[in-house]
Amino acid sequence: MNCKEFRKSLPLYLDGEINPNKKKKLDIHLDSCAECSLFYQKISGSLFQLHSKKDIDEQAFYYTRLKQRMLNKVQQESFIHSALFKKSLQLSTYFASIVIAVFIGILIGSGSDKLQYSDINYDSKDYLKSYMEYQYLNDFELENKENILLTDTIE
Amino acid sequence: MDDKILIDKIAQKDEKAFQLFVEKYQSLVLNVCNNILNNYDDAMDVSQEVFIKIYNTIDQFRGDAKVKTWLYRISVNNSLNYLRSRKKQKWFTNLDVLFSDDKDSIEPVDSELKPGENIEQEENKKALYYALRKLPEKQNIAISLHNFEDLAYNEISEIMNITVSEVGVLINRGKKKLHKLILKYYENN
Repeated sequence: MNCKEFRKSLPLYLDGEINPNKKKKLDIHLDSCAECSLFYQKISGSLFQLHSKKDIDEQAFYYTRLKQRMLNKVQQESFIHSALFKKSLQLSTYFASIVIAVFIGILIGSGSDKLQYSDINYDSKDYLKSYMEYQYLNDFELENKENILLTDTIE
Repeated sequence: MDDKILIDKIAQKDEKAFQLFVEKYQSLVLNVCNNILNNYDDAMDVSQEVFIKIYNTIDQFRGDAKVKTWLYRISVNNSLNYLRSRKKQKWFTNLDVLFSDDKDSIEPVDSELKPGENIEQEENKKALYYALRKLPEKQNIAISLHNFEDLAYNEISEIMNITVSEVGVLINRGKKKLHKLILKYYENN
């Protein structure tokens, strides 16, 4: 038997499921080959660890540490709750500000139901009064009227 | 004090009863976690989480199973959850390493050389834990409970909620696989 054959048959050898004839051959090879013997020793060493019970002794202050951890957890949870509350309060404030800003914007944009510049009757005696009531200053509209006035002057 | 009385008192949030319970079972829980996780610090963390869970959910203990069986079950489940979450973390860490410039970073090894233990023994343990971690979860748990905790097949079946014959199959198959994995470890190292 060579080393390659030995390693191939080793799992069955370790499982104890090898026939006696082959086991004898493996044993002979194990005695004669130093490299395979070392390899087998390593594997046996690891398998031995499986049967060696490893116990951790009782830990001093285990309960004290556990209580501290429980306390920290409660504090952490309350902190998370308060942080979440703060965050949600902050978000709702932002949202409310945006809604108010949009509402004000719409109000400004839509103007007023009161008299518009274009609605002013220039023949009326209350022209100035009407102009005073003018609520919304439309630059384009104003510019148009100014142009008309300028044209009138040239004529 | 009897376990039943202790549990009833803990359910009423009796601190003294909880302290007695922890002192009685800390060693069991810590060892189960350590045998599955093979890391003392992680085992300490997970074992404490186990007791916190017990304290918070003690009213769910119906008393059908033995307290020990219940403790083993919670310890095993918590340790497995911890291992799963660490696997996920490792996956993301590997992604980070893959996309970062630092390609030479080495994966940290859990087991450190402790004073009094020789290098050979440490290498043997390393190979064993490498193989145990490569095993399917159920086979790993069955072998760990049987070999490290000295539990009988019927006790393992109660903890894992499977039949005794299934435990036998798991341990048998697991050991065969374990032999191959240890062999593979030494062939590659």
